[in-house]
Amino acid sequence: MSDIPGGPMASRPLHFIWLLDCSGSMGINGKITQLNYAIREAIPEMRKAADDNPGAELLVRAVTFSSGASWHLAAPTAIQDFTWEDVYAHSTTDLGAALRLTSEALKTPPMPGRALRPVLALVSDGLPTDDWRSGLRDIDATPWGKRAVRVAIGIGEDADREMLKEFLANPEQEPLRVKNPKQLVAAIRWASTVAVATASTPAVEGDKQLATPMDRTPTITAGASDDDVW
Amino acid sequence: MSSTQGTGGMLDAGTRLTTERDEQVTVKSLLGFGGQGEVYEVDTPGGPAALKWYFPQLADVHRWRILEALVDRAWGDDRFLWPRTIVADPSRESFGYVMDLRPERFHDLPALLRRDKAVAAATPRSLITTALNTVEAYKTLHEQGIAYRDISWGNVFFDPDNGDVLVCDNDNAVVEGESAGIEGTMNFMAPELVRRDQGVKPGIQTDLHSLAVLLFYLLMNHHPFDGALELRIHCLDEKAQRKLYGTEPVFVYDPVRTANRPVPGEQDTVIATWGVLPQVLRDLFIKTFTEGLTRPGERARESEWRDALSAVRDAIVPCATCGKENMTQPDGAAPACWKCRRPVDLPMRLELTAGKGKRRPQRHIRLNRGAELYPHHLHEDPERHDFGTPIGEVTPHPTTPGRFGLTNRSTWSWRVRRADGSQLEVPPGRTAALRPGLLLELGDGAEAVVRER
Ligand SMILES: Nc1ncnc2c1ncn2[C@@H]1O[C@H](COP(=O)(O)OP(=O)(O)O)[C@@H](O)[C@H]1O
Ligand SMILES: [Zn+2]
Repeated sequence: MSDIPGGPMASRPLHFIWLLDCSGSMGINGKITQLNYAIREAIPEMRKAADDNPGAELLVRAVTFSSGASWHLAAPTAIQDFTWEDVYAHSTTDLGAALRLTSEALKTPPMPGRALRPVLALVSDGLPTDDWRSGLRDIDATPWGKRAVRVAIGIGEDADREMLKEFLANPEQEPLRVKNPKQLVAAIRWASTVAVATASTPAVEGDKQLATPMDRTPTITAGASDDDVW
Repeated sequence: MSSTQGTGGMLDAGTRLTTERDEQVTVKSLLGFGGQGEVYEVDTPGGPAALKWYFPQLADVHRWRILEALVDRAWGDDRFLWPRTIVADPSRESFGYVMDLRPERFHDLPALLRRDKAVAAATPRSLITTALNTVEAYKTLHEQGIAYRDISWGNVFFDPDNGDVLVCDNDNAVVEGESAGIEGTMNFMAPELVRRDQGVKPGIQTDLHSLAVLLFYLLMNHHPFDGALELRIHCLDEKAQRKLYGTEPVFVYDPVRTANRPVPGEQDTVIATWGVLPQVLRDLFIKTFTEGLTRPGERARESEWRDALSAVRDAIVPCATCGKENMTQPDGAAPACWKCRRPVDLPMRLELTAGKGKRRPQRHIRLNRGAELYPHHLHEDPERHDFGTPIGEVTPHPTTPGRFGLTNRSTWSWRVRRADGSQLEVPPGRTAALRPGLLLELGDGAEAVVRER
């Protein structure tokens, strides 16, 4: 754009971190495959959400947890360059380890002095097997962690609703509960785009967009068939 | 019933719906979704169109009434994707409306703000034209007593080639005074709305603030309150924005309160763009973002923006050294080129006085090669700027290099009066040689004198 003065608008980084349950139960009935699929499906919508908000530079990372936790994608990656490598399921549900690992990333440094609210997106299908409350306190003890926009998706009947609700730490917000692959796609798409919009362009109504989300979610009403229940 | 197929949205492809006008529309594909609903491409008896379909819990009686009022007020204006007709279906939980499809040549403003390649055709002239068209579009709405309420970078689309605009998302507009909640993003909202001051409602007066923010983004590529104070904020969350845009807004170029000046090295874009902005436009931004912050009546009105933008458009001059377009102060001195820093060579200027009555606005048109005169130049108070049909054009002499004339592209004759008192007629298609001191009678009471600088 050399015909008009001035470079691109100044933007702030928006750190988006997936926290993904890769415990053994996620391997049952192809849930983990569906999760990989759903995240890939959400990428174009996340790109669009980022494009709609020129003040935000969307950077994505992912932590997985099973026995212990590790960075699946450690480098904050620009959404335009983001591609999804499959995650695999095995062993236990060490959410606490994932939260602790994430809390390290939410200190300043490595976080920059100026940013938008980070987004923490948690997906889980069961009960944590380690001391997750301690991990959550670690997150809340960081300046960026306590301000983070949080979204939570519980897969299937066994998802720990109370835990997800505590993670959200917002009485007006409910975890998204999904019962089939179609709903998972919709929930991942909704959670990622609305969380990005909430963090990048704060609204006077606050985080209202995040409240009662499921009935606003596209595809839920689009005749999800009953036979693909896990 | 024909077969239907999933679109990834609430409505399947092939779904047939009936409009309030009893037309059949058929859903084809999902174009996208936003905060309020989904937008589909549909087939209608009149050809392809767009259908907005609300999320069910937003599809209430109140919204229906707003929509009905908007459909009733349609006035066939190609600058708006106005709701054409409501679409409902008793077997579904929601409803929507049909509008035109947005043609591909229109791009969103975020693409411009990011300096995206897709809008690389943008020039100072096309951006000033975009600003002018945007202002006139909202002026048209406001004149009819309609407040838009949600002016933002998501709702105005533009053609980077020529500055045509298309205002979308018009379903948030309401007749002024009608009750409507406060929603939206804080960076565009009038401070009194951000603060939620008692009794303040979104309306035409608050639209004027949002419009000025939009124009600032468009021309300055920056938010008017994001200066040094913004850089002190670690986490730019709701609380921080409430202070920055609501309780303690300070314009980055407030002549008196200088605490929020942009910081070199961090906010260079606005330093560069403000540095080359003509004073007529600076004055309107300063007024709106200083006195206008606390006294909404002081905000620049659309007609003021229109006149200033129109004047600046007439004063865009290409740099003789590098060829880039430069905005200049109408009737002002030559600036240094924003690109190559050499002084811009000012061509002759047409000092045009319009109108037959007492109020005779003066316009200054820089007579560089290709410069054009338009019907609005001849009117005292033009309804709308239309750059489609020029009535005059600066053209080079066919044989003598460096000589220029003003070619009559109108359908009527002009009259030229020379300094020695002699007169000449300039019929359509003919050209008057440009010389300082030349007086042109352009018709409709408009006359113009060619000035050296
Ligand atoms: N008339 C239209 N023609 C083509 N695309 C459209 C039209 N209206 C909206 N869209 C697209 O549909 C999507 C959602 O529309 P939007 O107006 O943002 O919804 P909302 O007002 O609910 O936020 C966007 O991607 C937008 O570009
Ligand atoms: Zn130059």
